[in-house]
Amino acid sequence: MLFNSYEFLLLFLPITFFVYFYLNSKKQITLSKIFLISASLFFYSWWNVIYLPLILGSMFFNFYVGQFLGKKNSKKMLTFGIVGNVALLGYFKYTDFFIENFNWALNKDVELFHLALPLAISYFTFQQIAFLVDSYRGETKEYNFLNYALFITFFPQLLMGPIMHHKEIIPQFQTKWKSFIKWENVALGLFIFAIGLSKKTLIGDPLTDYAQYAFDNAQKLSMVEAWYASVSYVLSYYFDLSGYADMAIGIGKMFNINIPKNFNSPYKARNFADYWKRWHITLSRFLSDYVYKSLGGNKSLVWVMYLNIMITFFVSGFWHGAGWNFVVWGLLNGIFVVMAHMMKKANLQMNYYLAWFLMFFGLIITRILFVANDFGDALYVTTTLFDISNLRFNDLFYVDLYLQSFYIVLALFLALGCKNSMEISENFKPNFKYIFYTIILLTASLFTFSDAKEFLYFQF
Amino acid sequence: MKKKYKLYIVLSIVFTFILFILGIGVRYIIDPVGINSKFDLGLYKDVALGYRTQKFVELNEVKPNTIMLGGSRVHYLSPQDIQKYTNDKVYNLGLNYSTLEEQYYFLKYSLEHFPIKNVIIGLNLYTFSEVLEDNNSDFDKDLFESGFTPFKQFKHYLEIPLFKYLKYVYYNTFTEPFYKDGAITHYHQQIVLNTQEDRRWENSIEGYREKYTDYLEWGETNLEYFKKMVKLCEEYQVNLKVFTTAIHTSQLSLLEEVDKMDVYYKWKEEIAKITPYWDFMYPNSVTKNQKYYVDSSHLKQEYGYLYFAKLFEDKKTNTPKDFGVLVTKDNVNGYLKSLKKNKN
Repeated sequence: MLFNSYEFLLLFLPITFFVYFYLNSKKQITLSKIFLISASLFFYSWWNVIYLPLILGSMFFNFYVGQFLGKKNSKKMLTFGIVGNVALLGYFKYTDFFIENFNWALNKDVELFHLALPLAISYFTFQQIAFLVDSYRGETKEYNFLNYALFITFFPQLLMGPIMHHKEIIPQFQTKWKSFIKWENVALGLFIFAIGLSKKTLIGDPLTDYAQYAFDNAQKLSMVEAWYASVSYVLSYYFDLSGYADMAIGIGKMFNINIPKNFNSPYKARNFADYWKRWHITLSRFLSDYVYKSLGGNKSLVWVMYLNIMITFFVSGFWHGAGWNFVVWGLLNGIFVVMAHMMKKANLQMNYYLAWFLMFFGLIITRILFVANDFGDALYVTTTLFDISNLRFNDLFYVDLYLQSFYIVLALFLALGCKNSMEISENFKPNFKYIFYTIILLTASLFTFSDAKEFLYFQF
Repeated sequence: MKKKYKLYIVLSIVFTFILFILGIGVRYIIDPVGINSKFDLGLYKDVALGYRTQKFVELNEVKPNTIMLGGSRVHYLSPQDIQKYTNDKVYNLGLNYSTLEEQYYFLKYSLEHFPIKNVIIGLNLYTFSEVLEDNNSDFDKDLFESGFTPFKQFKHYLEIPLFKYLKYVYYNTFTEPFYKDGAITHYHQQIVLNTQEDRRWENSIEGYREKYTDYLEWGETNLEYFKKMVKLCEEYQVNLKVFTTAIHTSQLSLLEEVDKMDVYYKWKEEIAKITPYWDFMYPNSVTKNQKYYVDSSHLKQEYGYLYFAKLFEDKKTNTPKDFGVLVTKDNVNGYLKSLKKNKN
């Protein structure tokens, strides 16, 4: 179910909210949790129920492996647990990728599986691997299955994160006062939700439309069209993903659950190291804690640290998608981050605006790799950005000169010149100004649902 | 303090809903697709924004005796070219990017609800593919069961892409649809006919190259729908006429280029096993000549009569002799042999 759908907003959310708190008000705490888990699984199964057993099986498997590890820190059991998770993810996400490469390398013709990727598998796999590792390290408490299941399935974060850590979520579900309606949290949650919804539907979606149409015809783009398409995609990804994260945080707030911040004005960064501290923060945190630090982090020689960064970004690239373009995307990001560290180590300072420009240009290049259908398209669009011979101002079939320019300018202004949604929400007060903002944002967004786009990360 | 938060929540939600309902009202008045036709604001009604829904509503108003079924190639044809043979109410149910499943449900509904005497089906090879590209249509099977209920009407006005519509209406320079009484819509008119001819051809060739490469694979699923359609016509004892649409030969060359001629022959053979049909989809003096076409896929409406003169065996109307072959299960093998031979 999409957050930007009528069934979610008019039915699912209000019903789930009131039933959950009603059961809690009647001191039916266990029942309320069972209800919230069931509602979340219903939310998960809305499109396709066939993957419901998969998430249930994965949850049971990890909970009991985690319990075992909590009692006895067996490395074999930890390996078994991690391999189980990676195998599940690998089977659904990477089988065809490996077959394609096998066929290519050995000139074979093994048929592809064409498996549909179960929703959210990349997210809940990561969360559960973290749980197993922490259980092995003795850092998990005695969680009961209901709280664990809520940690995995809680619907606001289930499909696209933020990637929550058991330590920050499960204790919240065990806190008594959080079981009762707090109107101030509901109000703040509604306001954050309205911001997120409008970011996604009013800015992210139109920009995605323009960019996608252009990238579907990548090889026909002229220089101007290539710039418009690439910048549109860079901006649409931010508004789409951070919009979703805001909505998740807002809904979490309504349920008295603090979901961690996932974006912190990433396009205001001036180098890639800073950018990755602001973009998809919970993913960076996971990769830092469970990949980078496991490799030794920055405790060894500086060159080893750089190697660790590259390996971490390789994993990140591969996690984002089963294709060589994602791997190259990850490595390119790794190189940019390493370069930022090198400059910092050498105490080199760059002009503020030049640094920002180079960072933003790096984003454009990496985003092209991420969204292009293949390397050929990515190369064509990238080279066309500088191909003066392909510069023309008439017959721009893949640009909407007025509207798209408006969206780009507006999105740049909001991303670079304004406070982000979390900063705005810090000043929230239940007065007429904020009522006005909320009404306008919600109403305008409600009329965009007919063109509802699936969130860009759904298939990750 | 708690009161203030409650007030914030209540006012935000209530006023959002009030504005939302008002917005629906505005959409009802503008009525972009022309479903209710209660208010005349002088704006063009663009049925392309809700083809299937609009067709369903109009079908119920017209209550035809003869229906034309097919995809956009049928959509482009004029019902008047048939009316002169059937002398009854003819309705064009050609749906852009239609699937045989959609056609089946429209046919079933029509047969169950109206005094249908004639059914004319124009076939497109691609729709028989096992791996169809999603057509993103507004097709809703439930319409045929429960009708265009108030809830569905509400949903329709809500989902209509109003701004897209207003954008095209605003720039519209046509005062009348290019093809009167035909099914070509204003939106399509703007997008397709207003584009320069060479670009239109290029687009249609490119589009079909992708379609034939990625989505044309032989399978039984859609053939089954066609079998069911023929069976339905037999059950209701209606006069069924089937023909293959006359695509330009550049499309046939595409099929060769992407190595899908086997699907093309197999399709012709399987159709003949189900019902006799008029085949126009092969090199002949019409399909070789660009002047008859809007683009590589669509015959111009003014030449649609050529199909029907053959289908209704109209000797008085002049048609090219090599245009159209009646294929039956008895002659199909010989016919396909000759097609293959002529190709070589």
